Amino acid sequence: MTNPTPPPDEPLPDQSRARIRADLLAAAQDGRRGVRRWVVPVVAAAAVLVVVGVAGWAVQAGRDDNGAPVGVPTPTTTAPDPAPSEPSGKATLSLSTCTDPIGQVLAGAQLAATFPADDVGGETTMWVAGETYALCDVRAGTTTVHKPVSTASADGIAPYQVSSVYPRTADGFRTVQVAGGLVPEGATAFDVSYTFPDGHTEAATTTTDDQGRTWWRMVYSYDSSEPDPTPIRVTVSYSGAQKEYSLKPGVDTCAQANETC
Amino acid sequence: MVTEGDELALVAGLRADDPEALATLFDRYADRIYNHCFRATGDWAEAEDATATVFLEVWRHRRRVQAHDGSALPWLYGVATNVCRNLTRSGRRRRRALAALPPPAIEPDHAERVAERLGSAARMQTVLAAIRELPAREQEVLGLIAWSGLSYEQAAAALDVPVGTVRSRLSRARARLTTLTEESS
Repeated sequence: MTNPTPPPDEPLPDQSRARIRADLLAAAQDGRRGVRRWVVPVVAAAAVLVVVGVAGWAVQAGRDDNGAPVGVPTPTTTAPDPAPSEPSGKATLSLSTCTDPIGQVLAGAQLAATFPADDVGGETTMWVAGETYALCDVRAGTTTVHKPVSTASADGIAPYQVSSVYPRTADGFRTVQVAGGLVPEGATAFDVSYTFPDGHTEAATTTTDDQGRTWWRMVYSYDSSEPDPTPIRVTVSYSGAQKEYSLKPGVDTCAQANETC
Repeated sequence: MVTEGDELALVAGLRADDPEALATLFDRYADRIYNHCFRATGDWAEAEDATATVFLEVWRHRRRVQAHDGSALPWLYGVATNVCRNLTRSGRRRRRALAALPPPAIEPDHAERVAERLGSAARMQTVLAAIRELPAREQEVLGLIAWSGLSYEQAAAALDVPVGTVRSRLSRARARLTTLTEESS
């Protein structure tokens, strides 16, 4: 099974080939003529927009200084109170983007914490269901959900594995690696840092949720997508103890649960 | 023999809305796309539909067609991979629905050709069942490189991912297949 062999190639049957070819040509010719057919509805839509614009201008011209139409009393209330703990507009985007994939990986998960947009143009949220949590990261049009981890322990390599995504750049691709987790309850002086093959060390940042739990997150981006066989070194220290982990490329650098790397 | 210049002219023709360029592209690559789609679906009839859809999609997105190292083939494989991925998903839903129905009566067909095609489809289904344990993206890389003969660079262009990603996906796919073989034996 290491080399499953498909049956040999076969040509597209002549009849099918002729039919598909004719259909394609007809569709292509039709598509070209279709460009001209667009002109009529586009002109009509433009005309409607002009009428609406003129009407809007007429109403605007009749407004008072507060922008309300003349004759309508200006509301005296001030701006509505902001929702108590709702995330900002960007976080809302991240929330809605994460809901589905998180639901598939960690059923019934609730949002616990949000790390606002970082320098690398992404946003990370932490989700909890019972005794398990998972990270959701949204950047460059990709939603990445990490494999769920137990809230009970910060030991072992699982909480420190990184996900890897490769956003396109003008010159090719870049690598963005993200990790995050829960600071153990009662831990003092918690610190996580990652040392990458290029020698750079990136320290995690933290945030605290409504229930007083502290979460950490690390993001690092570099301008290469070529795999480096050198492991990433993770140093975790808290409550006077220090641990080191070594992330194997391709194994511990693919924390994604909703996609493969 | 297709030269790089030919292919670039073809790409330029597509971008300039020339239906003849589409027809030439179809004549040149229909068989390869047909077989690629068959290897993704395990069904000759679905592969035929998919081939038609692929070239319609090519026409729909003709302004975005790209040549990689002077060839439109990697981009074409990228379109085909997306089309077949969606077809496979809807096919799975259809098969689940059909499974709930009573089996149809078997009608004998003595045509040798039909028997051959049924045989190759059955064989492909067996191969697909063997690799079904792999994540979809690893199956795609395996299909493009091991079965359709694309280079790492062409597969990367087809899937719009870095070459390193293609290498690591293929390497993981092979490692997983080895493990599966050991487990099954």
